[in-house]
Amino acid sequence: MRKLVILAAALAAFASLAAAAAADTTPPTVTPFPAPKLGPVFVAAQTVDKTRAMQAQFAPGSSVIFRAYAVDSKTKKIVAAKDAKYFYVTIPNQPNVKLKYDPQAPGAAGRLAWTGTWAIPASYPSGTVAFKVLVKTQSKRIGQFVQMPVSSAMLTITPTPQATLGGGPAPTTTVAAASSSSDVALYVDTVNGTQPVGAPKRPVGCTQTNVYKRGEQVVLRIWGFDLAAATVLSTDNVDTATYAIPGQAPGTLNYGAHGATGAKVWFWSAPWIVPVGFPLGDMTIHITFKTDSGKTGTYDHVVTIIP
Amino acid sequence: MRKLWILSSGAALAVTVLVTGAFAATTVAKTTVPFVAKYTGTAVTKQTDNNVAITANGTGKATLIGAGKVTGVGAGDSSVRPCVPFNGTGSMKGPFGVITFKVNPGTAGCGDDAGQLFSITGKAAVIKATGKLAKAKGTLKMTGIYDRSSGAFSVKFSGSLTK
Repeated sequence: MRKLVILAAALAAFASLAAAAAADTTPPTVTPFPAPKLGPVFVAAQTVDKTRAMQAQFAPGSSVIFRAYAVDSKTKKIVAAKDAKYFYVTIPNQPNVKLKYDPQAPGAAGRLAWTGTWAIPASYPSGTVAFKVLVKTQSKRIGQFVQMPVSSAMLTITPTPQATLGGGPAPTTTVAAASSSSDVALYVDTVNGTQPVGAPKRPVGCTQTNVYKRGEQVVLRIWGFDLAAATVLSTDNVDTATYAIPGQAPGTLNYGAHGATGAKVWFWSAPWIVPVGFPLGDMTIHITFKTDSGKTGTYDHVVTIIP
Repeated sequence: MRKLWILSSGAALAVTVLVTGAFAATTVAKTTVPFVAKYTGTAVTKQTDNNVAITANGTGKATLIGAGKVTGVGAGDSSVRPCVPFNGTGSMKGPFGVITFKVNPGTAGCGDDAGQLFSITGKAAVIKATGKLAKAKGTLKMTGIYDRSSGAFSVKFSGSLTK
């Protein structure tokens, strides 16, 4: 009888181990950001300070400028002032921040011509701010923007924000708003990489910035949609995803997982070290996506290089 | 005169055969076959310095050749980050045929921040096909995911083959 009990226990243990092993080899899956399918309107937004420097960390009592653009997936055109019924930012426990279309406004850059300023109350609690940007067109088509769930790059209120290295790209060098239609809509930003070569690491890595010292690591972060198919850009439908920097060899964007374990999301990215002798000043990173079906989308992202 | 007639008849015949043959050759139309295959399975990697030996086995389904298995062996260079280039050969087997492929240069697995979850992107050239896809050739897009911690992978081959 005792032998039988031991045998049964051993079999049970083996069975549970086998089950665990089977569970371990569950095929990994992709969680594309922001979603596999696009809604009626694509929306992209960034946060900057008054110098146009992209920034994720702000102190209570300071101001955040939101800048955004939207594309109607049906017309494939950027939403201009006459097209929008509303375009605003919602912030938890705060009044909405209305966005106004003005390509010349402080903080505006290129196609990100919708801007609005949030004066952060001095009493606003520290932590990440789960803001959303909502748009509705005159034709009653709606869209929403949420931040990528990578905590270091999300809008954060802290009494000790990471200092910006300098002012952002000058307005005269930003790329003119793209008024023409496009088959592909893109969100683009940059964060400071955690593996600089020839420059010290910043206190907090992977925070949004568009101002870099020579030797620092620029990390491009991109997501987007094929507007006609309303599908997120992934390795399933993208033929080539590349970036071009003046005087540098073209680079390839990689589709991969980012964020905390258990909450990873997939988007396109690429690291690039600013060479020691790279020209100072504003510089445009030209991004190009070509889909398997032959559609193309481009985006020009401007960063400032300082000594 | 008779010799001339025979000669000219022979020449005409030769021309006819040649022209007909050439025409026949140019009218052999190639068929394009849309192809999709999806497999999941387990990959084993063994690292020696920067060389990573890869062995993969999985099950799934492919166009025309049906449900079956994929196997592959290859080698990667882990000195290149974040995308580890790899090459190798493999096969997809089903009840209605076998496709043997070679992974093209430029194929890589791009790791996440922890180097655990890899996104696979590249191309695979079909070097031999049998069964329903006999003599099919072409290059397929190869995409997938590999979880280094569990060894689990999923892979998709897609594109068009000609036969």
